[in-house]
Amino acid sequence: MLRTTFKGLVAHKSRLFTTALAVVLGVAFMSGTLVLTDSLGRQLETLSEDTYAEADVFVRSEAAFSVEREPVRAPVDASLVDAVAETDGVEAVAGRVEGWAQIVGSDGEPLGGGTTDAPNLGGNWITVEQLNPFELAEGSAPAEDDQVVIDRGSATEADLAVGDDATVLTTAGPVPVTISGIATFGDSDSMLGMSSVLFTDAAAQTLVGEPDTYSGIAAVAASGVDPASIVDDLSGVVGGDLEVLTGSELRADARSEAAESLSFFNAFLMTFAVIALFVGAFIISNTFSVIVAQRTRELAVLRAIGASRRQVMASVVLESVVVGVLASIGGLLAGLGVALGLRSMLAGLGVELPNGGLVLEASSMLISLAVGVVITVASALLPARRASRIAPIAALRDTAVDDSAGSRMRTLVGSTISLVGAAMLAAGLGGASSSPIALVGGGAAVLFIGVAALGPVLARPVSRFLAAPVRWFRGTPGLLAGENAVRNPKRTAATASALMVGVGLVGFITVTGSSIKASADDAISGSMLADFAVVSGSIDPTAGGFDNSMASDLGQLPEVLAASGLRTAPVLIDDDVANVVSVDPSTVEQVLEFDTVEGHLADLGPGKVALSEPTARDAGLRVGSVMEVEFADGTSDELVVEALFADQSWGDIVVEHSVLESHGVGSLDSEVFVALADGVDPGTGRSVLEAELSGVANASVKDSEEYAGDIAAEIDMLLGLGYALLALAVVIGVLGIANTLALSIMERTRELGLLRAIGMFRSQVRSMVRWESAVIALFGAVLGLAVGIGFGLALVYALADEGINVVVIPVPALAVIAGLAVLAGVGASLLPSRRAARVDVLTALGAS
Amino acid sequence: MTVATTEEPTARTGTGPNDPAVALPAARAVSASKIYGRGETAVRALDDVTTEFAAGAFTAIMGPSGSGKSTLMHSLAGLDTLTSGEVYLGDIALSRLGERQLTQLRRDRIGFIFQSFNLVPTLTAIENITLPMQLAGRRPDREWVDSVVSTVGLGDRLGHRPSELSGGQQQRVAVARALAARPEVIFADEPTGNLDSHTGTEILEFMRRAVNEMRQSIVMVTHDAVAASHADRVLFLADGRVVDWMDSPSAALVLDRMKNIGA
Repeated sequence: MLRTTFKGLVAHKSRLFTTALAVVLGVAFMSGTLVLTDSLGRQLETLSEDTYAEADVFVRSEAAFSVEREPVRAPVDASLVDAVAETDGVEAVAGRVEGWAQIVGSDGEPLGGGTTDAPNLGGNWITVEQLNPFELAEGSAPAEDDQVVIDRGSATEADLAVGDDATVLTTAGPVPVTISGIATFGDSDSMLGMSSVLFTDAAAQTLVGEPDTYSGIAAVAASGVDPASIVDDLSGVVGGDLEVLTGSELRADARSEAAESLSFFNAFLMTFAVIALFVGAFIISNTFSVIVAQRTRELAVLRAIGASRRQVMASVVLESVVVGVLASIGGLLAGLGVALGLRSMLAGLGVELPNGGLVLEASSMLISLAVGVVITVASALLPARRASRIAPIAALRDTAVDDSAGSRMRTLVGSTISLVGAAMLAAGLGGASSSPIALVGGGAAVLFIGVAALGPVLARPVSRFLAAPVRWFRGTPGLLAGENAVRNPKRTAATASALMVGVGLVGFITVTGSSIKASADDAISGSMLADFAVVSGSIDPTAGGFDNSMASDLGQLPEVLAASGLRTAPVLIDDDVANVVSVDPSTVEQVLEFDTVEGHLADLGPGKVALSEPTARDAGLRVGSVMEVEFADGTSDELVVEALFADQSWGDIVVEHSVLESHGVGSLDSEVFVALADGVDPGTGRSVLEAELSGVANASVKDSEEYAGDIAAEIDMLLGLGYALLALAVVIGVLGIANTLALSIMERTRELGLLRAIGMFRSQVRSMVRWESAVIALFGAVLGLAVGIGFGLALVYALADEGINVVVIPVPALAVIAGLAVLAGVGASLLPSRRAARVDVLTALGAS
Repeated sequence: MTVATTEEPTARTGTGPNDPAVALPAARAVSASKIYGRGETAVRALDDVTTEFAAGAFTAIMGPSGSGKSTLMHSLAGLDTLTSGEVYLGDIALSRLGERQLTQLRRDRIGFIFQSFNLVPTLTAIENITLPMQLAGRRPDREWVDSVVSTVGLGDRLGHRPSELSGGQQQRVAVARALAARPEVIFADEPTGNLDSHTGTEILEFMRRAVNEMRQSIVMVTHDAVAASHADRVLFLADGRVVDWMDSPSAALVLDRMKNIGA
């Protein structure tokens, strides 16, 4: 039996090739993701370890909370440096300042600062060599407060040399500096592509951090002194909100922080790997079904001469094991290429990732291998069971083509599964569960399976309808193509299902993205009273922005009616991280529409807050209620609700600037909105603003259309990333079509021979197969789009409270997707149609 | 062993399809040779065959397995190519035609009937019948198709797919398909091979009527003496050569002749 299996494998190797390819692609994507995250993880770990150089002891504030997995800590008092220095066994000590500073290149353009650029770091030049991760390559350390050391990477990019004058953007506004030195980070020119500007301690505290504070204090233990004993001693000295760590604890913490920050990235990519494998499973199952059907006679002969059901089943399963193992190994190897490809693709889309060698972890390899084999074998189980049920008598019968479509049972089961999936989806989106993402993802998968189960019921009517135009413009080959596409509805449906998943998800993100774009556009056009927004181009509210004076300076211009700045800061409310927006209550309503329904924004001040209606409703608050808000410095305020507003375009929680400032955050305006005085021409207004802002390197002036366009561009970038990653699922789906088509062509050799004999041109044969493929692809695309639009609408409605209240079904974009699916179908038919056209008439007619 | 030449039959009979008054034979082979393989293992499937198939007549080709009868028919039908010599369909020399022209020739001038029916399973009976014309983008001649359909007696089965028809009905569809396009010649390859004798006889009678009533030229390969007896003439092949022929054959005479050849 074993020998039969292997002989069978060898005989069917071409049939199994595309199946294997589906597994290879899925496993490759998965192992590629794992390898990439392993490699990035290793680099980030090394970076975070190197950052603290040879620190043996570290003092810092406990994290108040985390924003996007990065802990937010308050600074520590500078006087602590002396306390640490006086502790027994401490040889050297230095305070560290960490924050934002952006250097302006010699061409007047700030370095980086875009949404996808590496961060721009500002800090102090640490004079204790053991505690400074940088090494001077040229020049000298900053001696004066207007001198800085920058990393060699930035020096090259900004075209700056030692002795040059330059401008640095800081939280205290732009400052003129002189480059005193250029440094390297270990052997690298920069810290993983991030730019670094290092001031003297005093300058760093004023410009980057806060006066008389440090982000943390590092110390070196004297030789022979156990850092743990210093930690013990210090823990008694420092206050309750501070933590004292040994060097190894610090580095372990940094490592896990790095891993944490990667976990989202990893989960994001892994989602697409899972989708690819899910699609692959459809194809594997389908291919084995077709092969089992085609081998019915052969398997029946085996049964007739005495093979047991178990042996037949085992032989098919064994076949899938061999395919699974070989394909998974292939996938692992291809995964290395995928890892490199993903990195350059993400880089191409603007997500800059550090360069460096690939790291191969044994665990990642084993996981990929196991997943590949398990999925292959699991997908082959149903077909194997079917194979084991072939009666020996089938050896003597002519094998009839299975043209059964859908029983009532199938309709019932398929509908039930679909409804369960839809219910899970609805429950997840409705927030009825503690793990909504799992519920939504699971629901989507179940719904896809349900629709796939319904596929055979839908295949015949839907495909006939879709094929009707083909018949009209391709004549008889078109008619035959349409009929061939539905001759085996189960097979057609299974083939189309694989494509359905990929196209469904593409349709889903298209509907969602378009709705979010339209909502943002609607919100801005309806709620931006200002003629212009001055933006800094940085999305990180704590890094990059404008000095407070800018808004008031602009407000003084005769052409300007009002200029008002907006700032944001993360805070903790009821243990959830939220964004607070701070405004200037005296001018904000002249530039932005909040649609206040109760109270007045103008009455905002210290200790007061205004809330959007949904936020107030969810928290059970009304005007006059008290809301507790915890800030990044670890302290809390009790804010009284002063007003409620309806328009969520600019945020849900609004305070006056002083509220944020009192907690040491939000000292910069991230955006300044400018309304022109009556009768001032927008063109004139723009040139006045641009002239006024010519000295502000990071400022750009946008009208409301451009402002909305920026948001649209960001969403488009995310959509592009989604499309690129979903492309794999679509490619696997297309492979599935090619595979089924090739297998079907083999079955139909005699029929093709007949058609050729009675006068069908080769080109007509090709056309026939091509359109059959196109019809199957279109069927899959239509199913997918139907499901995807459903997903999209469900999500958009679920997001209504987040201000997504314009529902858009972008018909042209969806039509393009359907058109591309047809093209993909045509592409899938290239080889099978050539094969069909090359059928030798005499051999085909002789073949039985 | 005598090789049948074009002169010999005309010398033997003065009536029917071989009347010299009939302008052109429907098909003919001139010094047709077909060799498979090369060197020691070469097989001569056709060995310098020269013969004619009269227009408006029903000709049967008989011979033992490996006699070259199928190769001869396939060559005449443009499905196979000769090693040397020439075959003509009407006045067209087939060896000069390219793949595409041969396909067009088959589509427009030749009809086929196969042993195993060979209908397109996804098409209905009437769609199968009009398929060659549809492929050519020609509008079927409704009246003619109707008369063909009524001749083969398919009336109420036209909307059915092949899987819903009996073997005899399927073969009648195949015959109708061959006739419907009004080809110059119909080539039939063991058309009754898969049918019981009663249904087989029915099919042969349809073919006979097509010749009598529609002046259709038919060339049929068979090894069934009864089937051959429906033809106007029987050609006997052995070892790639035409070894004999017989006009107005009867089953008994054909069987007798076959015994002599050694089938």
